[in-house]
Amino acid sequence: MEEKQKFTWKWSYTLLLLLNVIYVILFYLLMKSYI
Amino acid sequence: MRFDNLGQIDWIVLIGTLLFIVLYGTYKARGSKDVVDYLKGGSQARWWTIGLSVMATQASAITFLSTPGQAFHDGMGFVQFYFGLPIAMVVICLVFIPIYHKLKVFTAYEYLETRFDLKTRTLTAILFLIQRGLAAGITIFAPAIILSAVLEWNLIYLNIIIGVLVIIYTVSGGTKAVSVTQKQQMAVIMGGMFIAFLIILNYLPLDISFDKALDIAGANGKMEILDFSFDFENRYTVWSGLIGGSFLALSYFGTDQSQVQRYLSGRSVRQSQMGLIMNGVLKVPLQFFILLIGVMVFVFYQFNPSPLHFNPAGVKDVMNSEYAAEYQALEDHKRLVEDDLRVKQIAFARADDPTQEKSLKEEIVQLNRSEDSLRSQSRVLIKKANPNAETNDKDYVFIHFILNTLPRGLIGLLLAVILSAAMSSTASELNALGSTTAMDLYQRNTPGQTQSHYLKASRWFTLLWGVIAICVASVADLFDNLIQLVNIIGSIFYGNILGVFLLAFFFRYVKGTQVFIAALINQALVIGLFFLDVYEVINLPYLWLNFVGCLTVMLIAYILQLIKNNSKGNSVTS
Repeated sequence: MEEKQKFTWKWSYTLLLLLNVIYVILFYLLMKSYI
Repeated sequence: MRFDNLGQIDWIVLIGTLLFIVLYGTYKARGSKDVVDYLKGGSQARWWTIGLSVMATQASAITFLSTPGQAFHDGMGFVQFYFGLPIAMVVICLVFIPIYHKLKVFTAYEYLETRFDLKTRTLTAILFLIQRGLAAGITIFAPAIILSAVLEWNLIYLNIIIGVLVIIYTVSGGTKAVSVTQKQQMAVIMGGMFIAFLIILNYLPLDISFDKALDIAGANGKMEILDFSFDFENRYTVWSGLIGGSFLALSYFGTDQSQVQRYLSGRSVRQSQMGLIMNGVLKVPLQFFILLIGVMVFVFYQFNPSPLHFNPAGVKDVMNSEYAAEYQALEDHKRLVEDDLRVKQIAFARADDPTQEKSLKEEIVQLNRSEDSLRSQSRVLIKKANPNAETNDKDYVFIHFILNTLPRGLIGLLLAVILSAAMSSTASELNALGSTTAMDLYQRNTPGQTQSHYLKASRWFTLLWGVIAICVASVADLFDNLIQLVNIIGSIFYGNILGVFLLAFFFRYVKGTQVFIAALINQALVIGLFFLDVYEVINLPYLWLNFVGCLTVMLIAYILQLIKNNSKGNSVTS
């Protein structure tokens, strides 16, 4: 465990975070439409 | 114990579904040869199996009973609690999974011995066993108390039935049986909830479209999904969801063996990562959907009579007391408000003039406030009639709707949904409790035995934890909202455990003894903070305990290491 661990970023992580940002934007629009 | 409150077709659907899942799981996962087979499912799981298993583990019966009730009373804001989950999924995929797979560990705590020492591994394993052992009992107890109240079934028998069904396949088939059954349980759960949603829409008056239903919900404050305020008093805001929620999710999915074991069964690092990404993609929409069902139940009750208080045990208490007449008067008043509300809602649905719509909206909001006030007064009466009574009826809203509105057959299916959810979470918990006891405590301290010996030990420990969970469920007592109870227990321990793991992954400077001492001090500190909040000395909502607990353990360990290194440096110099 003493060797340094390398962390590899993958495009699927970016997509996952983006998708969830889109969910929040959709919730915002939905909220605005029905309040 | 009553059996006549369900129809024959409900019993057939309910018993048939549950027995099929138990027997299929036991059959499919028979013949484990060694502990790798039993505890890691032979390391053969593909990403969709892992994803479904992770989701089924988190989605307990509490999720399906409490969440719609939460939306019924407080609207959709609870969805914000899950905003941090995708961030946690990315961190786990990036850091935790590659290390766990590389070291081929059976449990998350095993890694801590490689990084720190045996005592830190043992301490975190024991903290996990305490909190998860209690939580497993609550996972069984939560649906049992509700079903026993509404169906007049014996609580103890129900605890035993749920517990024994889970024990049968979890003890015999281990991790593979858990994931095989969770696939079917998720199919039953999602199918049942989707059908319930369609039925609710179908039961709304003809001129109430889905759009109009959302309009009615919005007029009554149920569509306030996002709260961007920095108010510490508000439990669910975008910020508490992002910060508190990601810490809670990071601890739960990254360090809780009941979740770690799901993705350790993956056939490769990639498969495990994809499983968690699937969870990150589906979790927020799934919670949104369950909350939306609760909001639609609210809209349904705008056109149909609803009880003043949804928990039948509370109503029974008050009706058998000197406050019965007062309660009856509140009920009569509510009927009048309800009648008025129904007329106004229909007029609102048909209104095409914006001015008329606006004035009707105001009247509806006013009527709903009156109804809320009557509900509050009813809770006061129940509390007076029985000071020990639970007056929070959120957990009873959806089950009341199911039992009193859905057609025969579907009631059985929805009960199967609730019990499947209880079984899927309990199975993962027992599986993890058995594994941690077998690998971190038993095998570590009695090395040199054969594979079949450890396999047998794992089975016995799983059985033992099953019995303990049933015992905890049988003595548990309900307080406040059930979903909160599980989260509070988690929040007290999770931050500390997560802090230890973060130190292990990112702070190579800090060593085992300092982490161990820091974890002990910190656990006492977090419990102290929780009670200071309970007794209103400070204001710290429990979700923040994860965050605080995690940061303080890291800080204390770092300071202890700094002091040790300084004193070592001084003694070398002198």
